[in-house]
Amino acid sequence: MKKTYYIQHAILITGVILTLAPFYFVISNSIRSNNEIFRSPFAFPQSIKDVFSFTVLKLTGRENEISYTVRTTDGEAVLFETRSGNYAEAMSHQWHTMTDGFVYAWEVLRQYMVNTLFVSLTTALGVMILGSVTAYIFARYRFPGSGILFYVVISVMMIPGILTLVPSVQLVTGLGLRNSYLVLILPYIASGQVFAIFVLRSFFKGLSEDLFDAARIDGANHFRLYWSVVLPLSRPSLAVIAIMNILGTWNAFMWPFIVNSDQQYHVIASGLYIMSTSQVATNYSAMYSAYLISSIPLLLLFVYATKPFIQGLSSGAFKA
Amino acid sequence: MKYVRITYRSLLAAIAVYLLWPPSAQELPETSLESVLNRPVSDKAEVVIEFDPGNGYMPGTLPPTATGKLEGFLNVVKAFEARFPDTAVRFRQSSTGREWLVTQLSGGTAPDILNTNVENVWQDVHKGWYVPLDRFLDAPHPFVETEQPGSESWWDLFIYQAISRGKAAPDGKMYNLTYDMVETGILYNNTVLSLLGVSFPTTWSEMIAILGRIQENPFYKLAQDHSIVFPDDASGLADASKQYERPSLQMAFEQEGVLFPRTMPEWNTFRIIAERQTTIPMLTNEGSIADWGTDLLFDQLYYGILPGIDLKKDPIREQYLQGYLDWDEICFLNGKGFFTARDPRYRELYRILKEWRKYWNRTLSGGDQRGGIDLYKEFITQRGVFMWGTSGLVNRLQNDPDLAFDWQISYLPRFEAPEGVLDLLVDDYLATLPAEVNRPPVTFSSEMGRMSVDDFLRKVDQTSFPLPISPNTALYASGVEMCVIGGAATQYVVTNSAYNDTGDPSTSRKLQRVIQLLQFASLPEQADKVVNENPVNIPNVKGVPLTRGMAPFAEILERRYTTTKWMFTFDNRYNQVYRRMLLLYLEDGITLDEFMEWQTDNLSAAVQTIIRRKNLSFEGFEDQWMALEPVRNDMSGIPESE
Amino acid sequence: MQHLKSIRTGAACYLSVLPSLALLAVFSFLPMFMAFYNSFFEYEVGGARTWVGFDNYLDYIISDPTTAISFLNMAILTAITIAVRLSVPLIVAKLIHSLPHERHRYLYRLAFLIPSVVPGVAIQLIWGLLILGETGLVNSILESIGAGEFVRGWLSDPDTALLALACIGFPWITGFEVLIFYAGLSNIPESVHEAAALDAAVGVKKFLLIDIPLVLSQIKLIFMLVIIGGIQSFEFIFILTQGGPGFETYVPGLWMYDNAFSFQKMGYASSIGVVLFVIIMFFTVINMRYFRSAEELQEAS
Repeated sequence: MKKTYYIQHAILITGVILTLAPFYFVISNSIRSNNEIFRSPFAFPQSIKDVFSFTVLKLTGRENEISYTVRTTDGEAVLFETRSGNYAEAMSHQWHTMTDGFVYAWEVLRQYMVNTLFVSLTTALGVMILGSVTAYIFARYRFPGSGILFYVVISVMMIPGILTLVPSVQLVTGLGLRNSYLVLILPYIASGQVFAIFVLRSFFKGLSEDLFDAARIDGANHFRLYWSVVLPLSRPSLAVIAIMNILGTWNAFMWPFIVNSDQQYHVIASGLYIMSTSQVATNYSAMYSAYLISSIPLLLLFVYATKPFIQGLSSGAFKA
Repeated sequence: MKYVRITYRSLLAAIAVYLLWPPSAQELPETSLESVLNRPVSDKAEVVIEFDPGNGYMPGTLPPTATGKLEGFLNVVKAFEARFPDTAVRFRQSSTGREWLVTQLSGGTAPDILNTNVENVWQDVHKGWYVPLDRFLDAPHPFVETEQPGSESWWDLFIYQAISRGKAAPDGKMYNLTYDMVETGILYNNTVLSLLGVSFPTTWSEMIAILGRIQENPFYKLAQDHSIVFPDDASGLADASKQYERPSLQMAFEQEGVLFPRTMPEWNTFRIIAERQTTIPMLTNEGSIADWGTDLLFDQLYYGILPGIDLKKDPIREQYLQGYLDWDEICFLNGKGFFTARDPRYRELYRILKEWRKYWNRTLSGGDQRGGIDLYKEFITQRGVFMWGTSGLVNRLQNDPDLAFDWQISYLPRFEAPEGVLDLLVDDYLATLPAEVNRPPVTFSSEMGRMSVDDFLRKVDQTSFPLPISPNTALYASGVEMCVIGGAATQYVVTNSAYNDTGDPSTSRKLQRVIQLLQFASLPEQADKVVNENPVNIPNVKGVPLTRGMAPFAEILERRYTTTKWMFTFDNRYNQVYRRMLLLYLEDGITLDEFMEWQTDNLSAAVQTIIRRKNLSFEGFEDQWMALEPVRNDMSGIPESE
Repeated sequence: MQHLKSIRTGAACYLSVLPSLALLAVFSFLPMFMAFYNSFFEYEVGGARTWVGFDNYLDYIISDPTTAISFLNMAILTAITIAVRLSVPLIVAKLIHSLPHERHRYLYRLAFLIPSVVPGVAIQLIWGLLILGETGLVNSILESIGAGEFVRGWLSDPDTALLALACIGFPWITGFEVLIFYAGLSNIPESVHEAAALDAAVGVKKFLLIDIPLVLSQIKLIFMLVIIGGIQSFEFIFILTQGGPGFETYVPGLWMYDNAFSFQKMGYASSIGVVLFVIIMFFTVINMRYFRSAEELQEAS
C-alpha cells in the first residue's frame, strides 16, 4: 500500500508561503524607488518589469520603442528621456533605481556589520573557551567547594536579565565601559558561558573513563587530556553553543541600544532601530535594503551550519 | 571536489572581507559620513573641539529633504580650521533623547557643542552642565566688520530677537544659541479647495465647515450617481468638458457646490478623491496634537485671562516673552485649581480637541514604521487634504517630481470670542441651540437653568450634565489670532566638556575656541552654507537669504509667541503619561471625564516632582495673586479655589 | 577522577575556573545585589540617594496606575504566546516527521529556518510597517476585497493593539522550536511506533496519546523559555507600540525601562525588576519538579 502525503505537503507549503511572504515584499520594496513605494507598495517592482520589456524589445530588434521618461522638478521640465535605441542608458537607469537603496543602506550599515561580526565572534570564542574549560574542570575534577561553586554558576540561569538591566547599566557606566566593544563582549560572555557550562558538563561527565585512561598511559598531562581528548569529542555540542550564541548576539537589541549610543559602536539590531527612527526612516527603499543586508551574514551561517546545528540539537543535550 | 569547496569558501570569505573592509581615505568621498566622522586631526592642533551639529545638518548624511549629501558644516569647519590652525574640529553623531544627554553630561563625555531643545536644558541648569552664553552674546562679534550687524553685540546678528532671547532659562541666563527657526503650518491641497469653491478658512467655524464638506466627499457622490468620464490626458479635456452640458450633471454639481474640473490636475484630483468613499480632511498625528495642538488651543483659551494670572514679571525675559507662563507659575496656578478637572477652560481645551479629531486621520500614532501613519505619504497621494506639518516638508514637496496638484501653506485660524454667551442664563442658551443638538438629561433642574452659562460650567458636575456646546465654537475663546508655536529649531548649547582643559570657564582656552566656532558659524556667509543646503528651517542670521518655500513660514513667525509650552515644562514622566492618555482619549479609549481625572493626577504628580527637584519657592506669588484678584473678578471661567 | 587530589591540582582547578567566576561575579551577581539594594532608595543619576524602605514596592504594587493593566497585558500576551508556540511548531514538526523522504523533510526544516536569519528587530519593524501599518498588507487586502470598514491602524487602535501584537510572526512556525520538536519526535524509538500500530492507534489519536507524552520534555523546555521570556520581554513592544495607545499594550518591563532611563527614577525601576524576578522565580520553582523528573526519567532510560 503506497500512502500519499498530499495533505501534509499542502499544509506545509501553505505554512512556508505564509512564513516567507513578508520577505518577498521586503525584497520587492528594496529594489524600488521611494516614490514607487509611496504610491503602490505591494505591486510588482516596476524596474523589473521595465528590464524585462526593454530586453524583449531589444531582442526582437524593436529597440527604438524603448521609451522611458523621468520628470523632475524645476517646473515641468523633462530631464531624462530615452527614446530611439537607448537601451544601455535606460537599463542603467533601472539598475540605479534597483540599487540606490542598497548603496545608501550599505553606507550606514557597514560599520554596524563589522561591529556585530566582531562582537559576536569574540563572544562565541570566549564562551567556547571559558565554558569548555570550566565545564571540564567541574566534570572531571573534585576540589573543595567544587559542588557549591558549580551550583553558584548554574544559579545564574535563574537571574532574569530584567532584574539586572538597570544596575548593569549603572555598573558599566561606573566602570567607564560605555561606548566600547567590551561593554558588549564581557557581559555577553559572562551570561553566555553559563548555559555552555551546564550543557558541556553533563556531556563531559558522560564520556567514557577508558578514553582518559588510555590517554594518561600515553603520558598526556591535564591540558593535553582537555585539548586532544575532550575538545574533539565535543565539537557538535560546541558548534550548537557557538551558533546559538551568535544568534543571540545578533538579535540582542536592548543592551547595546542602551549602553552604546555613539554611532560608531552600534550593532545591527540597535543600528536598524535607530535607522528606523532617524531621517533614513522615510527612505523606505534604503530601510528595506537594510533589512535584507542585515540578514546576509546569518544566512551564510545557516547555509554552512544547518547540518551540525540540527545534529547537535538532536544529540539529546537540549531538553529540560 | 574538496579543493573546489575550499576555493569556493575562501573566495566567499575574501568577498566578505573586501566588502566589510573600511574604505580607505582616498577612495571615500570626503562627504561620506564615514570620512566626516573620522576626519584626521592635524598635528598642529592643540585644541580639539567635539561638535555634534544635530540630525538635520550632520555632514555626510542624506536627509530626504536634501538633494545631495550634506557638506555645509564640513565646509564651515574647514574654513574655521584654516583660520585657526591650532584647532581641530571632530564631528560626533549620537542618538538624541534625554537619556543619552543625561548620561553624557553627568559623565562629562558630551560633545563640546551639541544641539538640544531649550526645555531640556532648563530642566538641568542647576546642575552646572551648560555654559551660559550671555557674556559672549552681549560682547561684539569678533569676526564682523564695523558698522555691520553684530559689531556691537553678537546678539544683533539674529533676526528673530523675541524668540531667540526668549530662550533664556528661568534663571535669567541664556544657554541656547538659536541658529535657525522651524515653524508649523497647514499645508493644503488647493486643487481640492478650489474645486469646492472655497479658499482657506479665516475662522475656526469656517474651518470646521470646510473640513466637514471634505469629509462628506461630494466628489465620490457625484462620481457614483453620474457616470462621469475622466480624461486620460490633455487631449481628452475637450470631450470631458462637454459632459457638463448635461443638465442633470450641471444641477448635481451646483447642488453639491462643486465646480466642474477644467484642467488636467483638477480632473486628476477629482478622480483620485472620487475613487474612495472616505477622504481625510486633515492629516495630523498624536505628536503634533500633544505638543502644538495643546499649546495653540491653550493659548486661544487662556490668553484673555493672562492679565489676571501672569504672576511673574521677569525683567529680562518679560519684554520678549510677554506673559509666558513658566513652570513655577503653572505649579502655583495648579494649586489654585487651574489646569484641573475643575478648570472649565482646561476641560474646554480637550473637548475641542475631540470635536476636531473627527476630521483627522484614523490612526494618530507615530510614523509609519510603528504601524502608524506617514502623513507626508497620505498628502502627496491626495488621501488627505489639509496637513499639519512643518517647514521641514516644503522642500520635499518641491522636489517631488510626481506631485500633480496645487499646494499652499497657511496657518490655523482663530476662534472667535463668544459674544455674551457666558453671561446668558442656561435656559436662554439652550433655547438658541439648534434642535438636533443633544438636550440635557431630564434630571436637569430648573435651578440650574437659572445659572449663567459660566457658573454652570464651573460649578455643576459635568459628568452628569454635559452642557451641549456646538462643535465649532469655544466658549472661553480669547478671539486673538493663533500664536507662534514653533520657533527655535537648531539650538546649540556649550556643555561642561568645553572647558575640560583647565576645568574653569574663565581661563579655558578651549572654551574660547568653542565660542569662536559658534561665532564663526553664525556669520551670514557661513550660516548660508548650512541652513540653505538642507532647507528645512528658516534662517535666524541676518543676511542669509530665504530659500524658496520658506517665505510663508517666515510670515507666520512674525506672530506673537505662545503662552506656554506644556510638553517640555515638566518631566518625561508627565510627557509620557500625557501623550499616552491623550491619544487613548482621542481614540475613544476613555471618556473626557476619565481623561480629565488622569490629567489632573498626572499634572499634580509632575508639580510635586518639579517642586522637589528644583526647590521651587512661590515667594511673592501669593501677594501678586491677591493683588490681581480684582482683575480676575471681571473674568469668567476662573476655577474656584478649594 | 578522584586520584588527582594534590594541592597543586586544587590550585590549578581554582585558577582555571576563576575567569568564569570573576566574570559572573562582576556582571551577574553584583548587578543582582545592586538591584535589591537600590530598590530601597530613590535617586536620580548624579543626584542624592534617599532611603525609602519598602515605599517603592508599595507604590508600585498599590498606587501605580500602570500596574494592573500592564500585568494583565503581560499575562494575555504570554498566554497567547505559550498557546501558539507550543502547538503550531509541534504540529508542523509532526507533519514534517511523517513525510517519507529525508530530502523533503530536510527542505521543509530549512525553509522554516530561513526567517531566523533576519534579525528580530528587522522582523518586528517589517511587521509594524509592511503588514500591520495603516497602509500595510492587511489593510490593502481588506480594501481590495471590499471590507473597507474593517481597515484600521491595527497597532494603534485601542481595540486591536494587543491582539495585533500577539499576531506578529503569524503563522508562528519558528524554526528553532520546529527543530527541537522534530529532534524529540525522531528520538522516539521505533518499538513505540510498532506497539502503537498493534494497538491500532492512528492519526490524531496516535499523535495525542503517543507522540505528545514522548516529547513532553521538549514541551516543558519551550514552555519555560516562553514564560520567562514573556515576563521579561518588552523589546518588541518598545519597538512597535511603545506600550500605546494609552497604556493598552503596556507591560511591566517597559515601565521599568521608562522609569530608569527616561524618568530617572532608578530606585523605583529596580523595585519593578525585583517584583518581576519574584514572579519568574515562582514559575521556575513550580517547574523545578518537572525539570528534575524529566532528568530522572532520562537517566532511568
